[in-house]
Amino acid sequence: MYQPSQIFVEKAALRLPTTQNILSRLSNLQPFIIDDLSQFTTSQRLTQPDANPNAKPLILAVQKAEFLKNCPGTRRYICCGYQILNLINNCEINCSYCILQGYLNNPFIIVYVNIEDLFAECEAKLRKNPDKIFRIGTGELADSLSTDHLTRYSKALVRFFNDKNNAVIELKTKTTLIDNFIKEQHNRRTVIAWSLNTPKIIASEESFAPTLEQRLAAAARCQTAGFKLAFHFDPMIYYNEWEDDYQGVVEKLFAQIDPENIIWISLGALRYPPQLEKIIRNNHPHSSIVLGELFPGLDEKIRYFKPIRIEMFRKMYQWIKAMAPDVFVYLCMESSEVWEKAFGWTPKNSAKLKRLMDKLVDSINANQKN
Amino acid sequence: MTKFEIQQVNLQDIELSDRCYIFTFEPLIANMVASLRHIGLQNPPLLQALPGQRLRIVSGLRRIIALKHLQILRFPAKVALPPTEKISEHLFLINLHENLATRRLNLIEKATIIHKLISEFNYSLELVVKEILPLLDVGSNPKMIDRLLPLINLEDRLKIAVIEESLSIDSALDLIALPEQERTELVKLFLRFNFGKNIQREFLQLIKDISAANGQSISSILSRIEIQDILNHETLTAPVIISRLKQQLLKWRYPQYSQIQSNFEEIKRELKLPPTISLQPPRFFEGNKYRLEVVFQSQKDFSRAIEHLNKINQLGLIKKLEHLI
Ligand code: SF4
Repeated sequence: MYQPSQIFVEKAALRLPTTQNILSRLSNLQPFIIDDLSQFTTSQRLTQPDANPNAKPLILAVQKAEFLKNCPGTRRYICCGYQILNLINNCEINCSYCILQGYLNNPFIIVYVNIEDLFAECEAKLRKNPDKIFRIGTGELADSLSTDHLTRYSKALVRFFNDKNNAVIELKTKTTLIDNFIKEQHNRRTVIAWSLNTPKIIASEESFAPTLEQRLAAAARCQTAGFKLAFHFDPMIYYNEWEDDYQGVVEKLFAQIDPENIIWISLGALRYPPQLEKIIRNNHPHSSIVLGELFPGLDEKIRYFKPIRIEMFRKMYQWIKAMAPDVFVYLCMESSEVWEKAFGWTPKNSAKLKRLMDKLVDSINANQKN
Repeated sequence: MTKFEIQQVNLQDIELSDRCYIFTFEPLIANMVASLRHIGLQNPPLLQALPGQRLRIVSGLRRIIALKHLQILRFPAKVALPPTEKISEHLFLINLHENLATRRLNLIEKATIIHKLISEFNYSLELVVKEILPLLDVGSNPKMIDRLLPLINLEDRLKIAVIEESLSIDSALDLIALPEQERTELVKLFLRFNFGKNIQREFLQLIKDISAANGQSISSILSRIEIQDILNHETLTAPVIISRLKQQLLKWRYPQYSQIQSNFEEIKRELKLPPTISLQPPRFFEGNKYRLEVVFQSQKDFSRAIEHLNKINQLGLIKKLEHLI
C-alpha cells in the first residue's frame, strides 16, 4: 500500500478539511508548506528513474482549473466520449507501460483537496445538461483507488453520484482498496472497474499492483455489494503464450463474476507516445514490452502492427462472448476497420460508440425503475 | 609550498605504473620516438618527488615512454619538491593547462580528466559543469558528464575507435553494457565494413532487441547462417553487405511486418507496373488505403497506363492487395 516518503501542502490547501484528514492519517510525517504547486513541481523535475516509486512524495494542492474535462481520446481512432475528473495525478504502482511517465515529469503524487469544489462543479454541469449522459472516470491520470486509504475519496464520490440519474462514476483500479465505499448506498451509479492482465504481465510490468486473483476477489466483493462492474484488458501485451494466458484470465473472470453485473469490458493493445519508448527502456530495463512489433499509428502513437492487434482482439472477443454473450465489449482507441475485422461489427465513429455506451448507462435507470 | 627544480633523473626511479596525474590517451608513440631521435628532448617532463628517491609522472608520459623505447635511461626533468606521497590538485591542473595549451584533447582524455577531478580531487558535479566542461570544450550540459564518464571503462581498442571517430559515443555507451566477447565481435564488424555512426546505432538496437526477445546472445545471432552467408559473400561491396545485414535483422525483429511487406512486394512484382506507375502501401500497413501514382506526359502515355491498370484490374490482383492487411 502506498506510503509517501514526504508530504507537501500547498498554502491554499492547508485549511481545507480534506487536508487535515489526510494529514491526520500521515501523522508520522512532518508536512512541508509550499507556496504554489506548479512553481514547486517545475523546480523538482525528475531526471533519473524514480528510485522508490511506492513511496513517491505526496502533494496536497488546490485544483484551480476545472475538475471535469472531456477525455482527450486520440485523433483518427474511435473513442468513447468519456469524461475525466482530474482529482489525483500520478500513481505509485509503477507500471512499465504507464503513459504518465511521459506526461508527468515529476516524482510526486498530487491529490487535489478542494473536493467540495469538485462536487459543486459536477452538480452544476450535470444539472445544466439533464439530457446528456455523463460517464465519468478518475482513473486516467492516476489509479482511482490507490491513494484511497489516505483520501477516502471513493466514499464521497459514491455518495455524491448515488442520486445522479444522468451520470455514472467509474472508479478504475488495479488495487483491492474497496473497504472505504463498499457499504455505501450507491444506487448502481458507481461502476467499479479493474484493469486486468495476465499473471505474467502483472508480475513483470505492474510492480506494485495486487495479483489477478486479489483483484478478482475484490471485484467479487463489490458484486455482492450490488455494484456495477467493468473490466479493462488494457494494455494487452503480445508475447509467446498470450493466447493461453489471456484466455485463462477470461475464464477466471467469469468463474467469479456474473456477466449480468458487468456494464462493459474494454480491450486495448499496448500503445504509447513515441517519446515514451526511451523512458520505458530507461525506467524499466527488464521490461520486454518495447520488443513487440510496434509502429507509429495514424495518430503517431506507437502501437502493435495492425494484424497483431486484430488477432488479439478477435480472439479475446470470441473468448469473452463464449462465456458472456450479452456483455458489451468495446475497443479503446481503434479504427473502424480494426473493429470490423476483430468483432465483425463497428460503431463506425466516436459519436455512435458514445451513444451505445450511454445507452448502457440508461439501462441502469430502466432496470431500477422496473 | 611546491617548488620546482630541473634535475637529471634516472628512468628506473620513475613509477611508470603510477597514473595519478595522467589522462593522456594517445597510445601511438611512433611520432614521439621519431621526434626525440631527431631533435632530442626539448621539453623536460614534469615529475613529482616521492619519498625514497622515487618519482611520479605529472606530465610527459609519452615522452618518457619514447625515451624508454630509445633506451635513454637518464634525462633532465622538472621535479616538484618536497617529496610527498600526496597527490596535488595544483600539479594536476598544471598538467591539464599545459596540455590544453599545446594540443587538442580527445574524448577519452576529457572523460578521464572529469573522472579524476571528481574521484581524486573531490570536485562537485556543479563545479565540473561550471568550470571544467567549458574548458574541455564539451558544452555545459550536465548530461555530458554521464555520457563521457562511462567511456573510461572501455577497452583500449574501443577507446581508439571512439577517438578515431569510427565508433560513435552513443554506440560505445551501448556497447559498454554488453559482455566483452559480444562487444568485440560487434566492433570488429563495424570496423571491417566501415559502418556509419547512424547505422551502428540502428544495428546495435536491432540486434540487442532481437537478442532480448529471443533470449539468445548477440554472438549466436551473428553466427546464424543468414548473417554468415552475407558476411562471407565474396562479391558484395561493404554498403551492400551493411544494407543486407540490416534487412535481415529487420526481418527477425519484425517478423509479421516483414512477411506482409514481402507479400506486398510479391504482388507488386506480379502487377508488373511500368516505371510510370507507382504503388505505395499504407504506412506500416496501419491505414487501409493504397496510393497509386501515374506519371504521364502525353495522351499516349496516359492511355498506355490506363490500359495497364485495366489489365491489372481483370487479373484480380487488387483483391489480393485488399486482403493483404
Ligand atoms: S496503475 Fe495506471 S496510473 Fe498507475 S502506474 Fe499503472 S498504468 Fe499508470
